[in-house]
Amino acid sequence: MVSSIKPFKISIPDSALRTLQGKLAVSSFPDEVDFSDNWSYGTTLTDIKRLARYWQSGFDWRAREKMLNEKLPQFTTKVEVDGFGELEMHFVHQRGEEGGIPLLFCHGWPGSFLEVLKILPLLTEKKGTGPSFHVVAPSLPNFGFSEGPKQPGFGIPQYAEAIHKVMMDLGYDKYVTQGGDWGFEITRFVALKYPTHCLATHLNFIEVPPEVLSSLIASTASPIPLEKEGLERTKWFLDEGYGYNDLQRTCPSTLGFGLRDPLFLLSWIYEKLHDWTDSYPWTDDEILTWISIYQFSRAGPEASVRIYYERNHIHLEETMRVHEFNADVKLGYSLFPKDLCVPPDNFVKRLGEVVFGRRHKSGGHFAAYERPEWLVEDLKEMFDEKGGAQDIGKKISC
Amino acid sequence: MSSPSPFEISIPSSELQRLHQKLALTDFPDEVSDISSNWSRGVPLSEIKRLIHYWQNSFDWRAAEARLNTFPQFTTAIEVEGFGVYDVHFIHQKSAVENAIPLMFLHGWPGSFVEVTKMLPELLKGGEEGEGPAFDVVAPSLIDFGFSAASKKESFNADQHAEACHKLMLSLGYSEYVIQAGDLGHLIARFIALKYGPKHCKATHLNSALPAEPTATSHPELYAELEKIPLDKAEIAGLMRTKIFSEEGNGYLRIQSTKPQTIGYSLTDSPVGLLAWIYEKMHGWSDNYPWSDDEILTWVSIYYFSTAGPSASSYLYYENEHRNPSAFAAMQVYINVPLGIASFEKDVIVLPKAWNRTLGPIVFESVYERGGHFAAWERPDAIVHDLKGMFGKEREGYWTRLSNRRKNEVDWVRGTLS
Repeated sequence: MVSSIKPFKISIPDSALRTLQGKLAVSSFPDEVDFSDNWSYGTTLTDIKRLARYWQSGFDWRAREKMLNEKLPQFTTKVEVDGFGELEMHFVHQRGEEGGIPLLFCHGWPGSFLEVLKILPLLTEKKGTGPSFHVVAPSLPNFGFSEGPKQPGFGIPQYAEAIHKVMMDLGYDKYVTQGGDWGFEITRFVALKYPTHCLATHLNFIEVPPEVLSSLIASTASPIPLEKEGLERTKWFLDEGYGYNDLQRTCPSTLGFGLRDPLFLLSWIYEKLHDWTDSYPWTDDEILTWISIYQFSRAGPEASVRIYYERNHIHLEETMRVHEFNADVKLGYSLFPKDLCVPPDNFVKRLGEVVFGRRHKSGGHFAAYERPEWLVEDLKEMFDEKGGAQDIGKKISC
Repeated sequence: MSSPSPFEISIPSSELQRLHQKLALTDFPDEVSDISSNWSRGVPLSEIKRLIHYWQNSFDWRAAEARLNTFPQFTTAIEVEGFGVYDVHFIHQKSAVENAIPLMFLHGWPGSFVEVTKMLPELLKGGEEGEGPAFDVVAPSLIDFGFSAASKKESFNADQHAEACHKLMLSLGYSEYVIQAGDLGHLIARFIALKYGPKHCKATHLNSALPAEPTATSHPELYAELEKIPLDKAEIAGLMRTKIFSEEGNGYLRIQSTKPQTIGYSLTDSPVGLLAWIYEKMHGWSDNYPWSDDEILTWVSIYYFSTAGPSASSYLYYENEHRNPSAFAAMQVYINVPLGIASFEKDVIVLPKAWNRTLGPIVFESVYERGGHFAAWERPDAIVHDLKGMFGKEREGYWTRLSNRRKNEVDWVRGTLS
């Protein structure tokens, strides 16, 4: 089979930039009220006004595009997904040192391949006894610069198949995964479906099924303050922060019409960048780069939210197997207190053979972006000569 | 007491121009088979494209405005304790019949004051041969909706809305009145009954009902009684509809109750976003009502051009949810004000009728096979029938028994409005 891998550079047409600026120029903002800058009510007005004005004129997308193309070596390849035909997948690929471990990084929503920006140089370098990694960070189908499927029913099994096949195309027959957010379910499914290929999984997000969650939150048995803090955070997320999920999982098309409005897209995503991180000091450039990837995405910003609906309505039973014990894959995890679902450590043991686990004292949902050094340290420790998954590392290094 | 000022809707041309500028820039999602073409995942692309095209090229807002202005509208300043003075917009039409019953109609979301208009002619006229009472009708825009002022403040809750609506009736000389309401309006009606009934609010007729399920501890007698009676087919179907709503249809409620500001940017800045948001409910919550494009766009325009702006319509959801106890929980108590309940089988939440007995003394009940959530618009005949039945001749003297109105009070009201 001839590989279809081609180099790729982000190059957004001028027309797309002009369209964006044209829409921002006729922005209508909500009227100011007493709570306009109260984050409890949602994305704050002062921030949105400032960001919208900067996005319209000031923000230099071409400079950001150049930076992304320089720092992230990108490619595309065509993969076949059973029942959906061929999809062109966009991905970052950088080889580490000789003898490195192939690592598949899986983003979620509202993340992207961009989340690998800070960890890439740290993962690929070799320091001391720690391993080096060959990093592959795809845009999931419907996200970033990957194609979106043209039929309904593209669920977790399909996402797993798509990113697995990118690894196969690259010749990485055996690999490990790292993921958070949707990366939890998708990489767990990859491990389930391709156990001879995906040998270890590191997670920075541990999803707890709804039926287990309420009893977990109610439990006061945990003596560790960090665990208690984590459960309180989880409760907050379900009470105050779950509306986006309810919407995206039930009426993605309705929401989607609004997501084509840059001001709303900005507000919808920026709320998560604010609420889901541990006081990360986002610069306006960072925020707008992150959101521009959605604005300029190949499948359109509204395509990215379909995963919530499809996952919940189609292949759900099959998908729920990712919450069962999987003996075939070595499991490592890093938990961050300001993530959205922060279960106790003994819960993670229900998922598989835990060879590495660490509960950090700060950091949030976007671990690779907020705490890149810590995440890389954890990964290197997991696959270190003395690490819990060191046998895997030895077996698959190339 | 200051008198109301007559009001006519007159949206500035600059706002119309801005809307059209934005419509021209509408960007549609790519077509994806089966996702774009049916209602499973929300409003279909083809519907939205058609409506945007119509909105841009054919919909005549000035004609819609003129139609709305055929109904007598006013604004009046109402003080809400601890919050401020608000200009409340309302339709007010008095019956020619003497001693007509003051009726306040309270709209919900995504409805508006316009929902009363189909019923007006019938409500205003008494029956020939004295059958069926006549009503003086007051239909406000809730604060933060339609052409009423913005609340602008945190914690402006159902309590405050109730106070404003009650004071509106008082300001019009109606110290005794009844209410017809559904959706959010019914929540406010319950608060009015709780706080101002039965002295002022004499009775409520509701086409939404959200009673708590009676349990062995909460309502032991009722619970014991119900245990002996199996649910009938219609009640089971109603519970199924309710289940589907809570699993698939209440995303809007969850987001409006937690992040009203975030969703507000779509409602305010994106006409197509607002259209999809509202039209999804107009379609999904009605019983195959044949909405015309003009009706759809008139309803959406009332939100688009609202005084407080479209994002304000979510704020009450947030305040209700964050009230302690939540407004929905607070209104489930037994309120000793006569209650009429109309149940429409195609509504979104349809709970067993017997549960309604936990809400208050039921003096009137009806069940309709046809009709959904927007009862006053889909089945104006049904609501009118209920109101005339609940307060009418068969219930002879019911209004007279309820009312302690003095004749000169009625004259005062006539005098103010002539």
